[in-house]
Amino acid sequence: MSAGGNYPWAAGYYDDGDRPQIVTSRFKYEDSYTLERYLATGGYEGLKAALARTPAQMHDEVKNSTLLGRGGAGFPAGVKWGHTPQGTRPRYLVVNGDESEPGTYKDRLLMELDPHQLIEGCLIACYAAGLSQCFLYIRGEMALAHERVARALNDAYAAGYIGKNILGTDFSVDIVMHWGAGAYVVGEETALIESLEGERGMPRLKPPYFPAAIGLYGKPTIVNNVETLSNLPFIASNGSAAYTAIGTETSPGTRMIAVSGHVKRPGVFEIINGSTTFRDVFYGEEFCQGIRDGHELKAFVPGGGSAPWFVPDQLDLPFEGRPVGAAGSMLGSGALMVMDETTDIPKAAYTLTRFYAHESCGKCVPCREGGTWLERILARVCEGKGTDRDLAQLYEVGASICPGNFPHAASERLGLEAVPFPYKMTTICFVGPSAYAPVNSALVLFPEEFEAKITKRSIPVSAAVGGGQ
Amino acid sequence: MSDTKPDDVTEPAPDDAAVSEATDEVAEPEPDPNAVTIFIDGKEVIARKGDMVIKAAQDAGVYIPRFCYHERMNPVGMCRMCICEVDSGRGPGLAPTCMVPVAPDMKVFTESETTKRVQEGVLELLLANHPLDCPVCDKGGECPLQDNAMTHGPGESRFVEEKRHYEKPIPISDLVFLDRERCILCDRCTRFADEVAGDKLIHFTHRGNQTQVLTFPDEPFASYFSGNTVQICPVGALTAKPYRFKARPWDLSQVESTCTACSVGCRVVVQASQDRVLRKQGVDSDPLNWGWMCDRGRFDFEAVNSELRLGTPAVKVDGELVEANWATGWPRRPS
Repeated sequence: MSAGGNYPWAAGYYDDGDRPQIVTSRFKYEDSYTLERYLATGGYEGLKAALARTPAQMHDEVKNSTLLGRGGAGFPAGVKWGHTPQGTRPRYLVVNGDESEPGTYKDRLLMELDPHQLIEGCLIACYAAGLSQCFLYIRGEMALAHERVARALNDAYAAGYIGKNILGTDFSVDIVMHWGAGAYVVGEETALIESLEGERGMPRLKPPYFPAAIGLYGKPTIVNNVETLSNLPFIASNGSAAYTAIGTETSPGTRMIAVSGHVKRPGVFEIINGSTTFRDVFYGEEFCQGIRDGHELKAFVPGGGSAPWFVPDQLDLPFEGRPVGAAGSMLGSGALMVMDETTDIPKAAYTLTRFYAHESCGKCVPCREGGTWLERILARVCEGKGTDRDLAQLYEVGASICPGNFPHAASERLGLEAVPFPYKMTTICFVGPSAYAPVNSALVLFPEEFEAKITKRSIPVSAAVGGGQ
Repeated sequence: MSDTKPDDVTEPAPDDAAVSEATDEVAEPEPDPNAVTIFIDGKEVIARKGDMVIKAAQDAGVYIPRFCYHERMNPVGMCRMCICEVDSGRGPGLAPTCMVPVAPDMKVFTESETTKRVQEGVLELLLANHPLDCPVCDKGGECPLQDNAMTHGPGESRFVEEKRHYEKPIPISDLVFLDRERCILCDRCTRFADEVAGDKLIHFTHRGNQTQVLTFPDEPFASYFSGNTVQICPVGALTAKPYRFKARPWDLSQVESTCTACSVGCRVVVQASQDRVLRKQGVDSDPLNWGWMCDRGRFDFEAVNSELRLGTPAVKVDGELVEANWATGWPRRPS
């Protein structure tokens, strides 16, 4: 057994006993993904505990645990399950393993290092919510996750954990794995369902296509994130009280975060939900151990590439949806991207916007045309060929994608008040506004960096930069 | 129908009511269970349950601009042109009116500042990569994109980048030409091929800004109903070979007629310019053809002006056909 398990970079990440570990408890073992190791460390005990209850009791247990969805929106999983119309069959569980938000790589680790935990979570969810079939959608690029989940599924089928009459009860469920073709937008639940049906991965409009009512093949469908489901074995075997004892009342349990960028020790960590602050994560000894030597924090992205940026003023915010939303951003998928003072802010915004423009599915006009337009303007500005009119135009294109106030963080330095999350949008899904989020944050929080890149001026820069607000 | 019957049966006869009730009240008509009251720009409108807001507004005389919405196909919410501020009781929010069914006391604002800003924004973005070759475009003059740009557009573009370029136009079948530069990707033709004609021979390919409508490799758009896609295209992206560069819409004179190609008898409009029939378009007739036509009916007018068409009778002289007139030809017809 090596300290880092499968990943050399993760040496010492998951074997310190002080912090509660719910989903990463097996990451320290090199063979964490095998059925033998899983069974030796309390595996499938949660399933047995769940099957000993009635489905309604298990559902209540999950409701009482206030397990929040980890895909981005943070909606309580137990409540989500309750939204399916009763009596309609078949009903499906779709596991969203198409993790593709820039900076996020927690679900990949969960699938690569502990696939049985995910499978057990799926089974518990199917039992509690009365779902008869589970589809495991894994992103196209994740070859190792695909391989290990496939192997785990085969092992679990052979051992009788999946299939007909699981563990001798009359509960039967099948789990089908589907390998995606690799598109960011398929991480959106309705696009994922389209893709699973064999269509182009394009989102459907909600309403009427709320998956809980009209989902996969037109049937009620629960779409849950990999991490959400991976929490279920713990809740089933230890009860909701043990889960809510960790974290805060509104955000119980732990959550996984993925830190990248200019920190000493980037990686995936399991933190206590709700009470841990961004400062704890970036500077804590057990987490990132500070910004790289001799540098200072300039800005950070708190919840994946589509989240508006924060500056050091927001370091003491806890990992809780409401305060982060009021401060002008979101926790999203739990990806933190850290930028120190050497970062070229316009270029960072360009990199993110280019990603979203490239990943637009092409359905909604504002995203399809607006995203590329933003990307082209930013490319010109970064090359030093932009004008001040370009900066005003960035706001105008943004207003065509998200009319009205766009959220941004407060900045003591600039005397800015925070505009709270969320925003209005003219697109179906969040890919369109996501292309604008980094541009808006960069322009609002660091206008001087854009000014420095502007060489040709026709109107005062201050007027151009303030023009869209 | 069936659920109104029991009411009729239990309704007391008018004579009984008059005798028993001293007030002699006129029985109030049953409220229409399918009527929904909504407010469009502050005006009360009775809409039908299940109707989309865009349809309810149109029936009430308020035109909401649209490209992808087509009454005879499922709404898809692709073009975002019909977005209006809609208040369903939780404050005004932006909603594509082609996909939002009417609900009691819903308020729709088609003229508000936000609605205008959104529609101008969408049109500016639609036109950003549109070639604006209206002077040489067959659709010019009858083009929804032109019309909406004039009525709901911002008036000018701030797009200074190079536009998207494709080879133009490419034949996707013997009859239909596709100009991907003009295409605004409204999903009308592809939806038609899927939902109405049932032969999915054209589909979106690529992604994001490079999304385009195309046929599958080496498979032409060989549909019996391909001409309909030309008729419903809201821009000049799809053009039919027989009509290309033949006339401008404002020069056409037209007359409604019945298609003679088969016994279905679709409603059509026959359009002519300079005394030549140039185009047939389907007319939306509810019991009949909903505006659709088959390619045989749509393009058979070419026979009218064909050089191969027999203009005079011919008689066989020594085994060869020789042009004649009716007076000499008729008596010699085969009996």
